[in-house]
Amino acid sequence: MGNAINLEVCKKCVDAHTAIVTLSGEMDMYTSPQAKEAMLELLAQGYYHLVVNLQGTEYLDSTALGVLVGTLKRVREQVGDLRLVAPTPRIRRLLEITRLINVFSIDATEQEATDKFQQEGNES
Amino acid sequence: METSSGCHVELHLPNRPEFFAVARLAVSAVACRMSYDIDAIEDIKVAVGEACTNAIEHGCPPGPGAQEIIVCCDLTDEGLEITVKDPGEGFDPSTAARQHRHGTAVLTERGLGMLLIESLMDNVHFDSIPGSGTQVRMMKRLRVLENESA
Repeated sequence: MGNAINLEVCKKCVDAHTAIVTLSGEMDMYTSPQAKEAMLELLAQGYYHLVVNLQGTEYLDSTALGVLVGTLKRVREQVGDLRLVAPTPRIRRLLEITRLINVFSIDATEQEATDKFQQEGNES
Repeated sequence: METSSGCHVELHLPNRPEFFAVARLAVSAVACRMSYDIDAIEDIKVAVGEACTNAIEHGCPPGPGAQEIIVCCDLTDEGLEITVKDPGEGFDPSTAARQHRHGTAVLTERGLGMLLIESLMDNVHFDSIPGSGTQVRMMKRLRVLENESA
C-alpha cells in the first residue's frame, strides 16, 4: 500500500526563503511522515518561511498537528514562520479544540500568506 | 427503516497505521446507519483514528509478532458506543490530558489525541493497566431534534 493513495504533498518555492507546501488528502499517522519529510527538506534548503496549504486536506489528526507544530518550532528557531492557508471548517475546529488556532497564523489564500511574509521581510 | 439498536460490529485490525483509514471508514459507515449528522460522523471518525493512534503509540507498536487492535461498535438507542482495545503495555491516561486541562502545553507535539477524543465524544473512559493493554470506551450520543421530541 503506497502513501500516495492517501496524501499528496506538493512543494513550490516562491523566493529564496519562502516555499509553499500543499497537502491534499488525508493526514494521519501513516501519511504524516511524507509531509514532515517534505517540510524538513525545505528547511534544510533554507526555506524558513513556509506556507502550508490545507485547502485540499480532507482529514487531519493529532499526528499531523504534531508535524505542523514541530515544523513551526523549527522554523521559528531560524526566525522564520509557518502560515496555514484555507483550513476547512472541520480542521479549524480541531485547531480550536487544541488551542493551536492561537499558535498558527491562518490566511485565506496562498497569495495572502506570501504577501504577509514579504511585508514582514520589508519591515525587519 | 428497521432500527439497528442492539447490533454489535467488531473489527480486528493489524496494529499498523495503514489500516487506520479502514477503521475510520468502517466506523463511519456504521454511524451512517444511525441518525447522526455529518459533523457528528466526522467527530466519530477523528476519535476512532485517535484511539487507534494511541494504541500504537502507547505499547502496541508495529513489528514482528504484531498484535491486533480491536474496534467494537455497539449500536444503542442512546447512541453509538465504540471501544478500541489493544494488548500493549498501557500508559497513564491522566498525564497528557491533565497538561491540556491546565493549559500548560499549548505548543506541544504530543498528547493532542486524548484531548481531541475527550472533546469530540461523550462519556470517554480510558482503562489502562500496565502490561495488560489499554481500552478506550467512548460514546457519541444521538441528539434528538427539537421537532421530533415535541
